[in-house]
Amino acid sequence: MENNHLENQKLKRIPFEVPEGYFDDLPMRINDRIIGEAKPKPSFIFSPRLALATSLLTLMLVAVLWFKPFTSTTELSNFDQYDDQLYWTILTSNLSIDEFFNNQEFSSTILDQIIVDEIGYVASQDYDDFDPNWDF
Amino acid sequence: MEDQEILLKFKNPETRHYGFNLLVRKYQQKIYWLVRRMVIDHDDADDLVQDVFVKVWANLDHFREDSKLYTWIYRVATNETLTFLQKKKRKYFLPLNDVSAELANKIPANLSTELGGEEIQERFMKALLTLPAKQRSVFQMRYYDEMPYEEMSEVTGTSVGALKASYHHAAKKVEEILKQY
Repeated sequence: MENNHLENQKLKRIPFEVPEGYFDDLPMRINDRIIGEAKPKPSFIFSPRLALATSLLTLMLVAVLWFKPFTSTTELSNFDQYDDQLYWTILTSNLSIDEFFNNQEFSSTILDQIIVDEIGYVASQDYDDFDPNWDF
Repeated sequence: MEDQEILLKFKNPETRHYGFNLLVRKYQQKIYWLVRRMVIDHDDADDLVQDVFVKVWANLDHFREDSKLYTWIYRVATNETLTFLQKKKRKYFLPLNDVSAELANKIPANLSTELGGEEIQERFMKALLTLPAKQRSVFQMRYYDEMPYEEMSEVTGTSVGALKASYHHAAKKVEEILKQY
């Protein structure tokens, strides 16, 4: 025969070992995998690409909010200030809300102040048709 | 237990898992050693054997029984193993020689003496790793499992003539490497 070495029966023995009890546990592990893969998968699956896209969007949103002009914030704080003024004036007047607004003495003071502030603001926006008697 | 009986149990929804458990117990060792000889590393072999049986579970309903059950499982295992080795080569952009070298490094040092073997076994394993994966697979089917060429043809989808040529070419190459020592 031409293949002398290959006729050596020792070569047919595979010189590797397996962990003890490996073949006893393997069927159970395969069964667990089959059962695991049969369960419905969650509709959301984490992926690095999705995470990167979400991070970029968040950063863009933060950047947009950060560089937004502060005028609107100021505007809002003015309204808060007017609310506080109204609230404290009504509270300290010992009148109900209806009584307060029907009482010219109280309501005109605070409301006039608000309107004056607003006129100043609106005038700066060049509203030609501004009506100071606009309804709140 | 006969394959036919296992298949009957698998087809019955009430005994499906039991039937499959019998199938795994019957073939797990043959499939494990088939895969282990190809990938050398136990952990890789363990993952692959599980993948093979999960695929067998998913596709056994489509098994047409025009070949032996073992031949069919053997084909699934061979395909999974060759795909694994191919991916390994692609993943690390390795030429074939480097994949072989990486696998050879996984053969434990002093393997022969530890397991009561001889040095020639270690040299033989390393010589086998110089063969291209498909040719090594053909060689191992014939040499270790003594599979008839007709069955090998069913497993690989290659003609008997081509398989004979491939085996003899591989055997000659391995023999030449062994003679160098």
